Amino acid sequence: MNVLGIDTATRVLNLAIVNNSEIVVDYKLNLSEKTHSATILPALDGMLNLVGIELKDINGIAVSIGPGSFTGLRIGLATAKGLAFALSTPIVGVNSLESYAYRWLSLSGILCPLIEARKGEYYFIVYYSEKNQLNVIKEYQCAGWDRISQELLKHKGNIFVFGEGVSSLLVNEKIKQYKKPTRINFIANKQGIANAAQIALLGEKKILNQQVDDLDRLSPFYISKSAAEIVKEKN
Amino acid sequence: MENLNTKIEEIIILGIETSCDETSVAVVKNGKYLLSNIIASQMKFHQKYGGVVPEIASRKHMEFIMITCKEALNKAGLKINDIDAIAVVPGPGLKGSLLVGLSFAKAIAFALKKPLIGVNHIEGHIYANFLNQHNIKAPFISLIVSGGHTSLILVNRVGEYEVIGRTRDDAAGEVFDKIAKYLGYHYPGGPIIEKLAETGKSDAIDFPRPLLNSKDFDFSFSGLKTSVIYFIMKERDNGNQVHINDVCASFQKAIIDILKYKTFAAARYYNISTILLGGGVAANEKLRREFIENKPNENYKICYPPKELCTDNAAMVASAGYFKMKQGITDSYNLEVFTK
Amino acid sequence: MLARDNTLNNKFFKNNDNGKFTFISNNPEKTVCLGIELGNLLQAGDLIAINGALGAGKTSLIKGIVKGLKSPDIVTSPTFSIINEYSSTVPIFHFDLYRINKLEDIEELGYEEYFYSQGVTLIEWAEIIISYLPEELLLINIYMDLNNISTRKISFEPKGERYKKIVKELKAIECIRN
Repeated sequence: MNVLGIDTATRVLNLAIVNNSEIVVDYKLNLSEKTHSATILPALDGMLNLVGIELKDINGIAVSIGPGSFTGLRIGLATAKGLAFALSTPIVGVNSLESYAYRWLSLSGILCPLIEARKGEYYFIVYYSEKNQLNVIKEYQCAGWDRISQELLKHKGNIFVFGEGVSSLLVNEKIKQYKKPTRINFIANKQGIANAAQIALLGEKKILNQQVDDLDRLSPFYISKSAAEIVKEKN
Repeated sequence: MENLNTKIEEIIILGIETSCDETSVAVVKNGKYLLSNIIASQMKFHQKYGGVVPEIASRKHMEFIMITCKEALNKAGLKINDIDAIAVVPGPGLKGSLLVGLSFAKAIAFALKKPLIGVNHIEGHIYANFLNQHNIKAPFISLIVSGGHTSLILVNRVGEYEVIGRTRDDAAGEVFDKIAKYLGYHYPGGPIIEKLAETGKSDAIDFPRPLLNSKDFDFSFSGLKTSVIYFIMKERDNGNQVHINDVCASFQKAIIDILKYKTFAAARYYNISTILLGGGVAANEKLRREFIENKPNENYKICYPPKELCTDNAAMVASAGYFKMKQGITDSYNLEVFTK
Repeated sequence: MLARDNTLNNKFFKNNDNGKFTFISNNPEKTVCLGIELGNLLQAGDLIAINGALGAGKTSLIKGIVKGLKSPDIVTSPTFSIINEYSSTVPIFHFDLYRINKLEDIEELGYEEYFYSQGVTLIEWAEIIISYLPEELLLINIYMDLNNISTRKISFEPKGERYKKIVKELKAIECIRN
């Protein structure tokens, strides 16, 4: 089956097509003068032409539902819904953090993908990975590195931190100075920040397992400051 | 053998509108026949999502766009493949909200390989007059007046618009909403003020009519708004009973006078005798009557849409889309949103 | 429902007593003039919150500020559109949060893109989103006079060095002093 992956959560527009767990094409566009809104369809059209696949040959659509830029996510999800509806194909919403974690499934221990939210804060989720299975041990939220590392160090064994937020984290927190004593391993991935291929792979798995989403209800994940944090700041 | 039966043209346009508070999808045939017009906040499901008041949040548009679209097609008895073209509003409006409708529309057009037509929100209001009404011919002047806009537009032909007058501060509808809120009523203020005005005397208080005699066709309502608020404030401060009905009737008259005066002045100047009203304030019964009863002479033709088509809706967008498409005006997939 | 009261004032009264300045305007034109002078002093990254009741003249003041920033664009009320953008040497973002009822709605608007950008941000009805405002800003309060429809008392409360400097420079301008 051909699954189209769409990731508009970051500055980079990323589209991909996977087929039977193989990446057919991974198309990234980083165009500073134009928004995803202007480029997503021409890019999709161009990509399909390049690989000689027609829209009618797409059997499923996987789209990032965040976290990330609200504007970007909306563009991607609304586009995905329009396509899925017009083509009558199943749709799967994939959490970007989860898609990062799947890339490192082979590692055993605590996995923590990070995506930078605003300066000094990161979206994160904590998984326990064993035998290629991921178990959520902390649902995703947004916090500064102090809280995140505190949470991670509660658990025994190896800890791996990766994802789009890692390079900013290393710079912001001057991690090199503190790196030595901790059990935390940072994986700064040079592959870049957008993740459509992984999203499509995960999407394909889910579609095959009948874990598709409801086209009507699928929404981006919104995390903002928690209500508690806002009240605290006001007082 | 020659086929003597001429094929009757049937062009079905799907209209999508998410420019501000409302999520709306509609199906219109040949620009005139309304097959369905669904507005999310009015759907039965609204209770599930909380509240009837349309919300600013773009997240609501994302939540509603799919079910609204499905409902519009169901009501029209059609499938998505029956659609011949998609008309959508790329602006003006709130960026995050516009993006939902625009992205959704583009994707459908792309998937179905059908034309995409961008319709300016204000342009849409003009075409609300074309639904279920016949024989409107350009050139005409359109007064679009709502909570967010007050503009006079000269339409030479489909797609050729000239804004000949606009508000320099507040929109007329905004004054209705703000005074209503100041008096303690909930949104939307327009219908409430209208109702209160019914039993009030419109000559009770002489509120100012700013810019009435300016040489251009612009409008200004913030001075009027301030006068009304000031009046109420002073009455309350003096311990007087505020005669709300009189206040409402009086300022409603001031607004209508300004709108009427400027519109007819523009019509005279441009030598145009067809006037189209549109926008939420055009649902005001008093306004409609004043225009009809006080038109300069019998040659003037005054049109206005049915009330439910005065407020934001997608049917007007679909109608505009049809007429634009017939003129060969369509857009490409890199159509961008614009906010003003 | 968040109260539209003096909470915004309270945030700043406690620890910022100096740098304040009050200006009496006798008519809308003077308010616009004041705005123009203020606009002349602003630069990219500045944020001004304007507090005042309905009819106080927040938008009028902003008309002046935008003119002072050398923008040719027409300033209209963004009550329905929420955000109006005007062009000049720097982008100008004019917010009107009157219709924002829920704090979360400000997130929807992508406020960081504006408040922390390289433009000038002007906010009406800012009290609704106090927790999202930066620490440093210029707070302006406009008060109406029950005895005179045209009179306004306009007070400036700078928070942060940059804004204290602006207010100081504003005070020194000839036509403001008179």
